[in-house]
Amino acid sequence: MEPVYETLEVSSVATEDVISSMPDNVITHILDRLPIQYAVRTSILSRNWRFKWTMLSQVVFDYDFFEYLLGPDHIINYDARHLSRLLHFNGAITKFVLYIPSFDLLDFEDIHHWVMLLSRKGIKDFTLISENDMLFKLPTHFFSCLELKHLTLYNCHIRPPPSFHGFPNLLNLVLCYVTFEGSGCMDLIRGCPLLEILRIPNFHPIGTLKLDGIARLKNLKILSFSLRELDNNVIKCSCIFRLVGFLPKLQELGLTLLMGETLEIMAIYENDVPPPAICFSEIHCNSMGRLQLRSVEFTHVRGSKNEICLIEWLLASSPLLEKMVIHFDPIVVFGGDDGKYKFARKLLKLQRASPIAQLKLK
Amino acid sequence: MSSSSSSKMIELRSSDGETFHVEETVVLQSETIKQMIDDDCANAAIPLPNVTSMTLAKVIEYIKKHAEKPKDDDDKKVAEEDLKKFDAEFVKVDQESMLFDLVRAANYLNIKSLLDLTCQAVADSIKDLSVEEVRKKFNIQNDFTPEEEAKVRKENAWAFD
Repeated sequence: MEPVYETLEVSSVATEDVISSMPDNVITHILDRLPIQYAVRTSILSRNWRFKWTMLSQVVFDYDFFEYLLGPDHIINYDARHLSRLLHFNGAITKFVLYIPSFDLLDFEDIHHWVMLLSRKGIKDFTLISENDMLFKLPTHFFSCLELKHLTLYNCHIRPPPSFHGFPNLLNLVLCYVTFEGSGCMDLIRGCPLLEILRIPNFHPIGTLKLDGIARLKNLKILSFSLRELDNNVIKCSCIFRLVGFLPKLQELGLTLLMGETLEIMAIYENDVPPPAICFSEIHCNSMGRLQLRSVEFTHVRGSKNEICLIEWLLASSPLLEKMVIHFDPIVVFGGDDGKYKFARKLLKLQRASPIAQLKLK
Repeated sequence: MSSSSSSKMIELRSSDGETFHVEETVVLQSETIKQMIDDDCANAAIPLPNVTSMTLAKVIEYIKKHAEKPKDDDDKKVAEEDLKKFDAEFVKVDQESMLFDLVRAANYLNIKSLLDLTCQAVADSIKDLSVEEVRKKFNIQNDFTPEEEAKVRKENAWAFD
């Protein structure tokens, strides 16, 4: 919003009533920072304040909001029309947060209606967190919110219409327990060429992540995902090397290694199976010392040779690395506690390209 | 290289005629002033007719603090904590009107982080107040008739329970 520099309204108390004479954009800024019911309450302050709340640019129906709406007795006494009114404002709504409670308070039809309204309001920041058992399917209107910059979805289903070609402005995408129709996941990711942050932080078998699709996101700065979500069930360390090598701006990498036994990266340490053939020398030449990584986090590390191989390469290739956090798998660590100790000793010997890199084992 | 001595100084003049000299790198946090510098309008003192010297001094204190760069990574965390404390103290002003002067100045000078900080402080200060208390705090005169007020209240009854 363009700042409005002076809109001094002359009223009988203008000299003392400093807040009422603030420029509209400032009032919106203040009201956006209040829980929505407080913002709406300003409507009865005075005539001047009657409609100021309709300039809200952020509508947040989060957990706290529904707690408020239900009151201490948790009696369902609400009318969706009241909430719909909040979206009928004249101005732009740039941020919308919706928490769908586990009990049937909200009618999905109403939510579809809200999304339709938002798609006409230039929405930029959209968060939907569902705790409802009924899977929420994003309505078609959602896919026409082309100005989206930040998108967070939790527990819902995505079925992009054939006409959908992605969110060209999206910078930040977080998907948690999200299921897709067909190849929808990669269609979505490929359609967001400007992505800087991609987090797919759960173990839900969404199954259709493709490394080559992610490798095209040249602006990616933060990436975290579970290897289990990749489509091929044989992951070589070299795939990860190549992926990271393709992302010149990547600063933060989070990998969850929980995977099926067929994955080569999990080659069994105890039986001393040789690690998969990696063209280590080739990778050394190409990317040694070139990565921009500042922070790496591994989850469910079991202590396999392949894991060490991956860690070795990342440490040797990341001159700016600040910290590497390794979370052991709570169930399987090869060799038990002794194995952890041996693993840690091996890690300590690895060469680090960054003089300030810290290793944290958890 | 936090304290580059070669940095150009910019002269700012408040509404009551006082002048302030601030490093260009510091003052660039103001989008409004940045625009003036880009447009080559900053060769003489920049007049700020909407900002008093008292408010401007506070604003300069803020942008100076926010321009400090930690020397190394160990310092980074300490600096972040330090900045948080500074921000929290900064908005604890003796007079309510000072907070609003800062809001206005941040808006006029277009310093986003300061506008966010001060608007959040205003929001926090009214969050737990009743409507009547808000009116009193800000000297807002209720010019509704009781009937009108009841009607508005009814329209959005869910917000008043």
